Amino acid sequence: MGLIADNFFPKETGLDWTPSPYLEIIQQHRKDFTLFSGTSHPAVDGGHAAELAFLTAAAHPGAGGFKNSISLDQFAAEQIGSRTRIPSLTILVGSENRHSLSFTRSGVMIPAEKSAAAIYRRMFVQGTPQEVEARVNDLREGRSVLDFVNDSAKRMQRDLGPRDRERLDQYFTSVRDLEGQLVEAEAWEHRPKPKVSMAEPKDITENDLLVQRLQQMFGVLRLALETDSTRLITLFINPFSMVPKIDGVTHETHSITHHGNRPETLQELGLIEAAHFRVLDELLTGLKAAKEDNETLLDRTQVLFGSCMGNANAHDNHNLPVLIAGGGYKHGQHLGFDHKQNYPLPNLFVSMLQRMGLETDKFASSTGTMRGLDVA
Amino acid sequence: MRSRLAGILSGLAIATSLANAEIPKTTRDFVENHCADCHDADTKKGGLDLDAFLAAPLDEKTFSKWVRLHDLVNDDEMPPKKKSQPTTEERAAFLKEVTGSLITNELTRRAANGRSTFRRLNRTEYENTLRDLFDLPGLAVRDMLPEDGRADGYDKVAAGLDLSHVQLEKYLEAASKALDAAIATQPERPPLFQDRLYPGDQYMIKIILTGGDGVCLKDLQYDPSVFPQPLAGKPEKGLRELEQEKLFPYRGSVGLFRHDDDAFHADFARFAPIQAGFYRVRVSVWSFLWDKGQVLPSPTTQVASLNASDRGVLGYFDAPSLKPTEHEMIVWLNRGEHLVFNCASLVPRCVGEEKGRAAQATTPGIAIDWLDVEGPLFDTWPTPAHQRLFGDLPLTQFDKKSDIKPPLRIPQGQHAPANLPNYKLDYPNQPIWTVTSSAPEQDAEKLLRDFLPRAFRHPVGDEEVARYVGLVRGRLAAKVTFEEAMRNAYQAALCSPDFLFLHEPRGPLEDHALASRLSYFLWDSLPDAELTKRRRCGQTARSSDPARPSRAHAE
Repeated sequence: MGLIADNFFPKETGLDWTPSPYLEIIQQHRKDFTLFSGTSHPAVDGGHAAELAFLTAAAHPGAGGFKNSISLDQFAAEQIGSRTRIPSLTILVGSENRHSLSFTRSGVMIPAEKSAAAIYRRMFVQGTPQEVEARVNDLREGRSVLDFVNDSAKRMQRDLGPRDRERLDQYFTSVRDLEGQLVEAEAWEHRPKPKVSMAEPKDITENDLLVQRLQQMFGVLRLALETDSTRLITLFINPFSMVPKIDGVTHETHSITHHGNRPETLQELGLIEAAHFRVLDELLTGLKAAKEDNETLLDRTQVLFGSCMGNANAHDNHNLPVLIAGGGYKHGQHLGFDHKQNYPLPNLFVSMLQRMGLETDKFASSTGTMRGLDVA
Repeated sequence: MRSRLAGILSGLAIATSLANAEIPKTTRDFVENHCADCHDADTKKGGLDLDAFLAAPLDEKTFSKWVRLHDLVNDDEMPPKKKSQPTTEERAAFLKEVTGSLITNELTRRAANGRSTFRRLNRTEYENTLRDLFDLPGLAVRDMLPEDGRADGYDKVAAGLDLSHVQLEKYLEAASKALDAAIATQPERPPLFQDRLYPGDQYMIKIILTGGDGVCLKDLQYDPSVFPQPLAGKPEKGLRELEQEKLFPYRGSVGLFRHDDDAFHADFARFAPIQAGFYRVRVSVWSFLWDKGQVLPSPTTQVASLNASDRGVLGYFDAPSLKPTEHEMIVWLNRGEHLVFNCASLVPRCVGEEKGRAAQATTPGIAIDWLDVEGPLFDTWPTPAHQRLFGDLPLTQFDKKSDIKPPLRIPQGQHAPANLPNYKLDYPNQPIWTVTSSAPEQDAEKLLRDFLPRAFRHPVGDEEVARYVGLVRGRLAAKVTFEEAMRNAYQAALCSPDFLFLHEPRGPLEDHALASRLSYFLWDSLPDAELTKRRRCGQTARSSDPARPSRAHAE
């Protein structure tokens, strides 16, 4: 739901920027992130609807008949997802629905996971042999259904003309692809899960303890990255319809994002947003503290933080607040682009994909890689 | 009159190329003499290279170009007026030959492929088909599936309806969801739930009230006793403070100023059914004109609606001026759905964001006094949906000590949003009840013999039924319950191409295929009982049967 621009963007660009109130909070990581201003997704508008397209950059998410496209994480998961126990994690902290930032290639939203405990169990709690067997049986049962319908399709094929057989070929391919996924899932069931020192967290049920819930979730996610249980995570913070329990905050979040520049409302909104940055600060600190092959985990993890709206008060989808931390880039800069003619943000996604070792030079409406962002 | 070939031969699909068809000599000569000057490989006027074109076989790819060529010559547009013209005979001979080749070509293709292309159901058809097949009128599975592609703007054309593992995975899930909704898990009908819901007791409406887009009302007047904020001015209190001061729940009426949208959602989340089914919903509403704190007569009768949170409008009703009016509806609600109240005739004006807010605003409003729900209402138990899958086989208590794997049961809790207390358990999770059969294989065969032809919209042979019975047998041998084994067979049927695809065999349509084509054309769903009965008797209303006015036509 946007960020108050004056609290986020520093006035100066380049390396010598004076920290804004929010950046002051993460100032200790200054050399580990790069800020962007004057960027947005081309043709992505529609106010709140743009959250559908924050990681997909699909045009006009607010328009009738909108069809979304694949999100950044799923694009990567298609290629590297099978290397980890969990191909990708799609998470929501906040409101009551299960909306997420992740979409499949056909534009279907992946329902978000909301429970830190459930994620923990998936990654670290070794099931009893009976439980493993039950899951393996379920997967095999799924495969036997697929075998059966594959036979149905073979029988049907006999009655079809050549053109129709081509359509049915898609069915055979679908069955084969899905079967491959089930085989992979079964292989993971047999591999032992990593052991971690952290105990299983207890989910916080009070919806309005937003900060605590974020902290808990980030704790589990850091472990996910440390143990290489997954390499792709999206997390949607959605404080819509909620009065987060933060000192000085008494109104529902969405209503105060329409602050009309009233000072007292801006101040209250600033408290909520600053709390997000404090959690971000803890996350970056945690990733920096963890070491992997003599590098910090942060150096090996690209953390993208941002919002789909530049100015929530006016539902404007330009000049998005965005920063990228870690990932082994030359950091410390504020890359400022034209505020009237925004620079395409999908270019950052191309840079990120390439940094993950994926051979691609295009994502959605990208025109290249992110100008000014170089690998250290 | 010259006819246009393009019109006659429309509706061709693109697929395989056919055997190399020789271009006849008359055609070749005509092109050589009258077209090649401008349209040969060297000049390629207008980008048209007839040398290359003639070298290619007449197939689906070149077909439409040939049609265009035919039409241009046919309409005297080519060769151009200022060039030398073919004689009438030459032109006629050319056209006749091209027409002949094109028609032969299309007939050959039709003989090989049939007239219509094999395609999968789109997601609307898929959902309707499942609803009708199971007799679950509100089943919501459409949004579980990826949006369908389109070809030339249509979502019922093979070229737009591709299939990938994403769909297949979702079909497995959707079939499972439909079976969950259909299968009875207790021998007695669920107890009737009855409650009166107050708008001031709903979390989203409390947010609306504190946001300034609604007011508390009592005896057709503004009620400042509980929540004086709208007229009291600043400092405004937030929802947390108000809740701490025990101002809510409020049991009076609430007047709303605004149409439903993303940010304004009068969601009655205090109730969500455990059991899908029909519910009786009664609501009391009226309209008014809010004038800076005064409640005045509304200039017009306003219109409100009740929506289901995931599916949209359930019904519209009038809200007359200053006259609380009760409306009753019987509506289908799915497990976990909420009722959402919408001020349908109001504009999306945001009084809460205006200067002075409600204290300074003059704006129309709709008041809601309360909302009663009663249900689920069942005429029979088990439901028709269950009976369609298991006939009249009895439900018995599952023996937890047996070596059979117990059937999966979803916990029967009241589905409520996370910020509400678990509202109510309608009935405790009692012992597991499941369908039993003393002669499982015979019963499986009987049930599948009834189910498969309905699901597949065509007759199903003994061999195919036996294959499904084999699946059930295999599952029973793996020590699952009869219910679970049948469930596997039903799920396999619902994910098989026989169910997912519309298949019209080559040649004249048989009765069942005609019935299916008619019903998917008219209703986007499978043939209903009457159409199925007629087609079984060979009485599908054909156009050649003027004595029987088509029922579909009448509808």
